[in-house]
Amino acid sequence: MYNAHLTPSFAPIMTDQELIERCLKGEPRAQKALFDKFSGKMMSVCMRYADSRQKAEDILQDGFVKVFVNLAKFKGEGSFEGWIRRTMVNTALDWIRKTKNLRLDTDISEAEYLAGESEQIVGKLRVEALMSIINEMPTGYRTVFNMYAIEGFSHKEIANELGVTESTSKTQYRKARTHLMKIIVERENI
Amino acid sequence: MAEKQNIEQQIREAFQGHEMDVSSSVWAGIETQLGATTSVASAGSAFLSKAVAVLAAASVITAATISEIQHMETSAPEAEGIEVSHESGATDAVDVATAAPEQPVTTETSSGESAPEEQHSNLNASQPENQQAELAETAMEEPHNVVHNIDIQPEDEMPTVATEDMAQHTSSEEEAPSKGNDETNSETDVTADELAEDNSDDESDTPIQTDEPKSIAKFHQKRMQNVTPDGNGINDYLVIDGENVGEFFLQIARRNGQVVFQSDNPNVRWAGTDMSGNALETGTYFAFITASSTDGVPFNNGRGQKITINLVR
Repeated sequence: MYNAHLTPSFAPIMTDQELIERCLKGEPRAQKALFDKFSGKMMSVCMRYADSRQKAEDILQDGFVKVFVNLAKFKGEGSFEGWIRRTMVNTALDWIRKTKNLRLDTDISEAEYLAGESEQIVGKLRVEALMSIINEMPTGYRTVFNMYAIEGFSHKEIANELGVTESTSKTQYRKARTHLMKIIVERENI
Repeated sequence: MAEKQNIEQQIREAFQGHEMDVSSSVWAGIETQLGATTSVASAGSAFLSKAVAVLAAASVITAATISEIQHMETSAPEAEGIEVSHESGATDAVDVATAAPEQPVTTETSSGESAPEEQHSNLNASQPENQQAELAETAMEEPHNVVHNIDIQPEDEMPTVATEDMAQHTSSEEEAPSKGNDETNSETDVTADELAEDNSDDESDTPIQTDEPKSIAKFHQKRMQNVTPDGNGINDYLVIDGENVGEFFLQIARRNGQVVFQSDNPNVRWAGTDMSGNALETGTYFAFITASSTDGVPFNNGRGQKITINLVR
């Protein structure tokens, strides 16, 4: 979580609290240090929600601007990284809502997949492979899957965020999961 | 056993701490946008800087408190907190597993003994008040109705799964770091009537059958957990660590039974907030897990599991 070697541009390791204080004073070096500390992880978050690298970087950029602008609103409840992450996710959701390509009723043609089979294969999955599978999902599946499986939103929260019903969220999630498992089984050795 | 871990958890673990390269144009874009924002803001800068000064003063105080607690919590340096805790998490799990069969009453005793050096360490500063408050509350609300209804003891499961599983799943993030606090807590926080419940319930449960053809939902939760949402990366959330979980329902209630949070998502992280995200006050809360396995077998014969949570802010 606090990887010293990942913040080379600001050699002495600053705690999040120090970073925040110095950013609030408007120190450009601190802002850059904060960006360097979290941008790699947040790029991973944005990439999960985006359909392209370019889009992910757009979201990342907007998200970090929000982080700096709203920094004073961070009250120290929960971790700072968690707060930044939520800002990124919200920015991603804004983009998804705005582009209106959230076709939650999209149906991926599904081959039968035997539930419970081959779940262990995921153990061999590399994160890059997972990322590419998630990126290839239709936006609706991808969004619900990210929110539920990785960010830990409840279906109720997802329904609120995306303006769909709770049962739509559940159905979408189940389909997304099945879709994912099917691809994992197909690719088996990725 | 690792292969039975649910897919969501594996995916989360795969993404945990994952980083990607970011092209330099992103920072350039941010700088440009920030430049624009600050010049607009500087119109009211006198007012702003006052606000900032106040905020900074407030945050210095917070920082002081937080860092004090941090130092007490972990002897390990911040940078290595996670890894170090994983190790201790793994060994602790083994301790529990070996100790429990002989003395069934025990998550707290065995883990307490296994790490005596930690007992004096954390949160002592804030603990006494909480405890007094809790005792006072306990006195006032003697019958823990909700608790009794759903209460069960998870110890019986721990030994069967702990050795192989917990040692392997070192990357399950918040589980391991929670150890340090749990140990102290369980020493200080168990009230008399809870201990009584422990004893009475222990004989009743049957051991898990390992060759069961249907999958069985399991949760590797500590019976008592600290949640300290102070952002130091340790115990910031309650994390559910389950395997083979199909249907899932989590409720978190105050001591008086008032439900403050619920979720149907086994990947939920609870950071001491109510359903609207408002911070809840320091105190003892109970989490009730009800679940069924991926094959639809009710978890713990439908009795669920209770976790006592010490929320400390």
